[in-house]
Amino acid sequence: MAPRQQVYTARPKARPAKEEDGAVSAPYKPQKAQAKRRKIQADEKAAGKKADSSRRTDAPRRAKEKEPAERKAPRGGAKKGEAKQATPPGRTNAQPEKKAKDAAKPARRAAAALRAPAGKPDTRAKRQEEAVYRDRRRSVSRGGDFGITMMALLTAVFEALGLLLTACRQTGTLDTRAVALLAAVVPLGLMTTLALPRVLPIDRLIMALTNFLCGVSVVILYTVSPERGVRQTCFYALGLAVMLAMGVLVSRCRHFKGLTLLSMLLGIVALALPLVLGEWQNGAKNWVTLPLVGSFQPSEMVKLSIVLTLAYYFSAHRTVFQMMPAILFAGACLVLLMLQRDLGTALIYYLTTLVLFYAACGNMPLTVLGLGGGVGAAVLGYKMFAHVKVRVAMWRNPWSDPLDKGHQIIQALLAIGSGGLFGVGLGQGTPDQIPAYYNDFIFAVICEQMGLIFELLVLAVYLLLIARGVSIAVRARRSFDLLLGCGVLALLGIQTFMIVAGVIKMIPLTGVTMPFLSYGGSSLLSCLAMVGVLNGIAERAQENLEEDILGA
Amino acid sequence: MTQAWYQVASLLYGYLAAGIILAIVLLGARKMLSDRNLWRRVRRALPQAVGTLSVLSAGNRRLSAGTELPVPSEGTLGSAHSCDVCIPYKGVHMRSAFFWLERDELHMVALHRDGFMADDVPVEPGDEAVLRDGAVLRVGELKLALRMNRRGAPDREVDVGPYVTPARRTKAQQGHGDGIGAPGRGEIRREKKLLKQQKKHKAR
Repeated sequence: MAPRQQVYTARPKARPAKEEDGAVSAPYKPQKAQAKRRKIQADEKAAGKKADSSRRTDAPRRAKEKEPAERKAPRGGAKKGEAKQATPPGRTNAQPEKKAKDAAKPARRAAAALRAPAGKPDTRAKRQEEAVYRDRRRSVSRGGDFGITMMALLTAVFEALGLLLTACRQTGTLDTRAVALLAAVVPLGLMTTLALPRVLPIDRLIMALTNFLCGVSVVILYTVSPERGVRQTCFYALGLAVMLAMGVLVSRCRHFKGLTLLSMLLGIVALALPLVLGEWQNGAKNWVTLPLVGSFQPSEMVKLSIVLTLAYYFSAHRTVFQMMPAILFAGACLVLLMLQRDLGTALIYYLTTLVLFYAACGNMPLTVLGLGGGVGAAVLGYKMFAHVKVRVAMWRNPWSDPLDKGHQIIQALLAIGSGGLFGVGLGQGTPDQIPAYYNDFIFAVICEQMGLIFELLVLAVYLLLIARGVSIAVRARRSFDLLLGCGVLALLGIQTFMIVAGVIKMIPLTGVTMPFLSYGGSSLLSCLAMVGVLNGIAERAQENLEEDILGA
Repeated sequence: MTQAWYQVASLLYGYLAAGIILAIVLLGARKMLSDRNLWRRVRRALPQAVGTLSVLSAGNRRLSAGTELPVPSEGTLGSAHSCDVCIPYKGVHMRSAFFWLERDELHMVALHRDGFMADDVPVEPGDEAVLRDGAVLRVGELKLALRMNRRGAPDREVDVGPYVTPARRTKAQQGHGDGIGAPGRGEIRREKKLLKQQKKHKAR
């Protein structure tokens, strides 16, 4: 009987077996195998040898050579009884083929362990690298996109069919003005979505969505009031020019200090103008008529100014004290708007300031305090202004005075209800029964003519526009760009919510326009200028990304 | 077109318009999501931080020498946890500086009255320092070396170190440093020219 010690030598115990197992299970731990390979290569380098890939296969061979005869036993090992018998030296030679095959198993596995992870990651890494380059090429490409092209073409089809239908409305005659409008609007949309983004700072998706909303506005306005439709088209063309100019300005300008100070000054002057030159209309004094310019609403233009000022002072100066110039400017604007009794616009300004304040410093207690102050101001406004009291009363119960004060909201609700899911048809219904159907209540007119489903999808387009804007704003490298984008989006979002919620009697009516859809030059120009700002921010973010890609 | 035909056509147009707008919304959502995913993939493959600040001097228990602090493209530097580059070390104030990336250079404005040193040049409150790759910062008792990640930057003159723009020094006093109106290319070119002239003058 062999001594006990010999048993241990003949059949390695747990630890050596584990080592062997480790070598076998290496394919599941590629990092271990790679570390081994690296170590071997480093050793060879240190020895002055040239390291090449063939060493990988040498390593297991050497391991195989070094392996003692005992380790060449199959992994399962012999049974205890067998192992106790010392293997005679000649026995291994007695079964050469089987033994050699069994003995080579761990070594083969070890070789596979080193080879497998070495081969796989190479192809995977290559594939990943190719994917990264492909992504980079796609992200810096300024070429067209199938989805955007389809969106532009669908918008063109919508506009063309709508205007052609309106042109054929009268029996026996063709409205040439509608055809002329069609010839103007469709190329404008196609050009700004498909051609101009190649050379000018324009985000294709934002442009496609904006063009669709403007197209809806032109078609609906032309069917309900042709003169206003034609004028809206002129404002649309002018607004696109303003949008391009704003895009170039934001993407190229690097010094905003002078521009901010100038816009603050102009903003205060513009908001003071209606108090001096304006006349009272619908309980507010917010319109000005100038000899060459015509009549316009300064508070629409000051929106850009307030966003620029807030973004500038909130971005670099993050303590409340250093934000003061912007807060004071916003406060001055609010006071002037209160004096004009334009409370809807004042509310938009106020909420935008709060949103930007929170976005810049994240100070929740102060934001809540500001919100509380706003509620207090609203209560004060309710007490002070008679027309606010009337609006709140009509919001609570419009049927208390259905022929006078509540007429507007009741007609809007009836129009929305009569439209049903798919509407009564383009140019049908009685939109002129609703007071201010072409600006404040355009939402109700669209609901009546095109139906609730269409209107809900229009709101989805607004949501997409805002989501895309947020996506662009968060890509900005600087906090100034981020806050500028946030401010523009807050303005658009709050304004859309306020008018839609007012028309469906969710909140009291505030008398603001629906962005892009309502008739009005001031509103459309300011909204398109805001889109231009978003385009400029997108261009800057794109330039930064291109720089990063080139630098990487 | 007769009234009856017009009514039928307008109703059909309503259905078609609903389909068109649905297609536009779906296409827009698809485009937006794919674009967002593409952006994320590309950003993930690029270095996240624009550079690192390596601690050179011996540190303390919380910050040892050799520690590398990633530097984002814009943010604040100080000992407060809310700072983008948090340096918990003696002598470093809660908000020591505000910085942002501008054309492969890190612009840094001192926010605290103690300021900091950029390559042994004192940067006073409100001053704006322009730091390039390899610049050494001294904030409080801590020495930090700036390493920029961006390898594709154009070659720059090695001997022109970080500088504090004289125009900014006078303009951007404490609490008025804007952080947005970074000097344009022309201004930087003029500054470089001025520095060269000064060097030549000294050499003579």
